[in-house]
Amino acid sequence: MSITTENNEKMITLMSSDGEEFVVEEAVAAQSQTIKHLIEDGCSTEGSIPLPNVTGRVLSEVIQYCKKHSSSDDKEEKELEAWDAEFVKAADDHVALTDLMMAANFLDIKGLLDLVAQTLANMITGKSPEEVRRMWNIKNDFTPEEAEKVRKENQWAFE
Amino acid sequence: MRVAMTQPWRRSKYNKARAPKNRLLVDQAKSTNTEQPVISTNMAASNHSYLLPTDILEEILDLLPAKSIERFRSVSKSLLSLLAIKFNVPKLLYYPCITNSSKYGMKSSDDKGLFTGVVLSDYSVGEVKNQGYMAPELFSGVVLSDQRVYFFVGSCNGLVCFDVINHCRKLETFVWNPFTCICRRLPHRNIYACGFGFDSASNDYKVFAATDPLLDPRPGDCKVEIFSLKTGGLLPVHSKINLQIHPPVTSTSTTSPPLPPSTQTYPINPNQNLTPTLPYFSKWSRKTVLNAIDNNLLISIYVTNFPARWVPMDLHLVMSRYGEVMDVYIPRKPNRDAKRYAFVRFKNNTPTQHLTQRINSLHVDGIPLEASVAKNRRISTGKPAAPTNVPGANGPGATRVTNPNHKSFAEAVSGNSAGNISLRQTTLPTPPTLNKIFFPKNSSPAWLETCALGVLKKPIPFKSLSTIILTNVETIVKVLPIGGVSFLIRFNSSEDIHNATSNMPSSFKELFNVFRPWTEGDAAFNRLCWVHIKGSPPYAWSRDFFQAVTSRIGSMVDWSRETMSIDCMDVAEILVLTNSSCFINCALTVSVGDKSFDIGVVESQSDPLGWDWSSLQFPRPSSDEASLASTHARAAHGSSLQQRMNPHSPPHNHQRRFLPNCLVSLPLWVQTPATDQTSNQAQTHLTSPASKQAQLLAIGLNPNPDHAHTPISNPTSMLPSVTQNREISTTLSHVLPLNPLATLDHIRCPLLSGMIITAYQAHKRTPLFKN
Repeated sequence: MSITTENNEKMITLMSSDGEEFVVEEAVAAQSQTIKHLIEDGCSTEGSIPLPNVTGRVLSEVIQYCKKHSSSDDKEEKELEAWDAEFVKAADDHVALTDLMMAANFLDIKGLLDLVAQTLANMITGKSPEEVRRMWNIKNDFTPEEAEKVRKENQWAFE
Repeated sequence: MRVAMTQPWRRSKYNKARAPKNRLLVDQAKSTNTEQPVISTNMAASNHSYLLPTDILEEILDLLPAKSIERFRSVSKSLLSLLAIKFNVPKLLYYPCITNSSKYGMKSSDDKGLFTGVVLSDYSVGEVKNQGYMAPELFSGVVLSDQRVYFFVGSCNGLVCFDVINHCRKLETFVWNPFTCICRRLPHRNIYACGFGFDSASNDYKVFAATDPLLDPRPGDCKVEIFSLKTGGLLPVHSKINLQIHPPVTSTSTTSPPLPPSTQTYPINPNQNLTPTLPYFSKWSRKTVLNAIDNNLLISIYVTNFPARWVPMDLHLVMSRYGEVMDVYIPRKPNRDAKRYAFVRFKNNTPTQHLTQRINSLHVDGIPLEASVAKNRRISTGKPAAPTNVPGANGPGATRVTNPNHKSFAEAVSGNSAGNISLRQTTLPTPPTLNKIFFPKNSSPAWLETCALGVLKKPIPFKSLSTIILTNVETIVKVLPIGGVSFLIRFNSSEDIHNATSNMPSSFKELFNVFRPWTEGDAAFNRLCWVHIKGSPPYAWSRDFFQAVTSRIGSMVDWSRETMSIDCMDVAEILVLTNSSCFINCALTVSVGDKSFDIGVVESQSDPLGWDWSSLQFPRPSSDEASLASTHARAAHGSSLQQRMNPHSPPHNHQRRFLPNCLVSLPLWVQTPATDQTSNQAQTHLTSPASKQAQLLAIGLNPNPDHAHTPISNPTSMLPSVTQNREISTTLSHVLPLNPLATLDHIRCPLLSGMIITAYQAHKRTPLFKN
């Protein structure tokens, strides 16, 4: 359902997968291309928009990001960058970041997606394959011989 | 309410687009192993699945440096396969990556036409957008403040060379190592770089630059320059002379490649076998070759009839079409017929007979090559092992045939020389055997009344069409192709046509654009179609001849490129304008001189309007005036045909559009002193303004701008710039293009390699001059 505030700003209600509801300004929510399209399709007029792929915790972070980026159009770019850096730092570990990235991917928020992808990329750049496996819970399905072969092919990368 | 709300969202396209493409890792886990993945304590604590969807993983991988990507190949099989698809680097050159920059041109986040691939080994870049904008951050070595137009010049051993036009409209040339992100700017000259390669003779990467001969208003002012990466500066142009002094370099795969000089800037793993910029002729000793032949490792093929100006490299490039060429040897002395001959050694993995047949079918400058298995191998006495010689005319134009298969051809040429064949004498005896009737305007047969005309939407094979039609409507008796996409469909009676047209089956609606009862005019309309002419005598192969042959069925409009270039002599493809509404399929007897030939004329099923016009416009290999002029005429003709046969429409003028790409790694063949008259003529001719226009036409036709790394095989376009430079022409008396027949697929050498050939030639000829 759309609520109108005193600023004549249309409000949108978003519902996370665990049932939490977030009321945000339309301009903030429209940072997400997915939600923007939904609004254009008229889904928002009937009630809250369900986002079944996003948990409440992640959604609150996403909204935090969107708020900052929708309100700071003419602010200093440097300040925004610093804020972004703080933002991903606050997410502290890769688990949260991965969640955030999946949400950003689903909601189609380009800026956030790039930011998180870059952070994750920086995080894993210097890591060994074993560490990456542990990070994302990827099973090592190589036999020792295969592993040795692949490793040998790309030997320079391990030096 | 919830359900109702989610409905539109599910249907929406953006949702689809953003949905994870493939849960690759899940699939992998299921298919390879039923065991549950080991869950670390960290994971178990948080209640999530960390199987990343592929598209998210890709986003992250895009941002990783090369080294990390290579390392992560060993994470898991699924990641390996993902990386293999995404970063298709079968021969990725292993430049150690400096990890201070995470970008190496894999993909940019915006759509500004960046490198979206990986630089592969020689010459090819995975995907390069031709003329786009390059993001400034891509150059970590150079500070670029704004976006600039760039042109890809070439890549060699993983290095990329490109021209950039900056905001001041000045041209700059860069050489870039995408893996180390080191970028070097060449001395600024405002001159197009057009070739980039590794000169193994001096262990140096070199960039050849020339002012654009076609854009330069004053052709006399063409500049040619060579940059060296080793010295970081400009080489004087006559440093080519220095190059010529170098002995030929053998770079067979056994020798370890030389390290590039400035290893700090372009470190190259010495274990990586650098592919030589060009395949080279081995300097094998005679003993080695003979041993190899004895042990059936090599097949030696005797080849003659090639143009006098050819050097081993030319033969090498032509012959590598047919097999793996290991060695080319052209003895200095001619054979007993005063012709040059060569031994081409193939690796023994090609059927010999097949090999010689295919070589025999190749025409160079209109003369067939002649090949046979070398009968007497070279023996220690040093006598050349020429096969049986047939006495006959000498000179480059004469064709001698020793192969018995060519008997008729030999008779034709040596018996009555080609000049005797008069096409005016070409007679078409009547009546020709016509399998299907032509029906002229006023005498259409009665059964046409029961026919309908169907014009297909798109061409489909005739067989499947008739199956569809005959199974769908029972009243149809016969389907008759009348050329192109038109068919006559014969019904039992004229009532059946009306029944069929009034309630047409749905399959017909999908198939046909037009489906209506036949009317009088249908048989009399002119249409374009391709006919295949089989069995025409080779020596009569000319436009006039085909014009005469096709005059029975209509008028000749054009001929295909293969036919024009005599690439394929078993079938001639001719575009005719005919008024026959029947499928053309007839046999004609044609007499040329005192000989008669049976010639089959069969219509081709291909759509005449679907013809790829761009392929018409390569010039003939020979550089004589007539052929260039005819190329010009043909190009003009092609364009006007494209405009629905409007004779007054001017030819399309689309030369300049792809020009910078055309200059990409143009093979330029430099040869030291001119010896034969014909070459000199070619040179003077090519600088004349008339032919330049033909070249213009030829150069504008880069058919596919997306393949900038494929060198454009039109070496002639570079000629004016070089021959008009006096400094060069004093040292190099003429410049020869390689025969386009051979260049189309096989020339992949940057210009600098051509100079190595020069070196080879110069070396070989030095003793001659001393004598």
